[in-house]
Amino acid sequence: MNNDISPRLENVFKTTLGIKTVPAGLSQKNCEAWDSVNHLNLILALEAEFGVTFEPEEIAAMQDLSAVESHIRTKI
Amino acid sequence: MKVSDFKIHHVGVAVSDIHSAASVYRENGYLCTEPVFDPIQNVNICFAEKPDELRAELIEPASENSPVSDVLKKNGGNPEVYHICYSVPDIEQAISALREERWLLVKPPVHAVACGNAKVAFLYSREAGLIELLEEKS
Repeated sequence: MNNDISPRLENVFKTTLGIKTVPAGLSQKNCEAWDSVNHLNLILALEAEFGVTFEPEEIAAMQDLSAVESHIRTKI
Repeated sequence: MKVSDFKIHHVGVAVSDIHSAASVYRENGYLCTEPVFDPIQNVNICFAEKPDELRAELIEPASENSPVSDVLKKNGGNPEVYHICYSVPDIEQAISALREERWLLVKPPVHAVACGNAKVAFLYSREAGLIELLEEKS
């Protein structure tokens, strides 16, 4: 993560999931803390941090860091 | 319009074995409907009802991919109340009002087979957890 929204995004992930590092390949499949409940907490935290809203189909699609970042970029 | 304006319809209880759970409810005087498969949530559902008591919706994951599987996994496979369902007269209006209160729309309105094809939707708040809205036209 080496762009302008990265620090904010990284901070949201660390705070919400309680993880120390945010590797580029982070996904629901390789992160135990990123379960279905924390996924919703993550989406709410992202909405608050970036002042955006997500639709249910976007919430379902944001299953890894790359997808999350892409969806945010389309909205800010 | 807030959640406090809505009437509770049932509580949703995640269970590992719907038949065993229903047996316990029956032993305690509840009438239980036959389980119905809900393809939207990928779960089996039955309702346990008793006059003047809060209705319980027993929800059993139909596969590992069901969102209810995570709820049970987190609770060591033990039953857990994981949502409250509210009856609303207009589901779209209720969703709009809750979105303004920063509730997250998790599942948009769909017709639910277990609820007589009435429209249901799911919303989430970090503070209040998961709720279901059930449209019941008066």
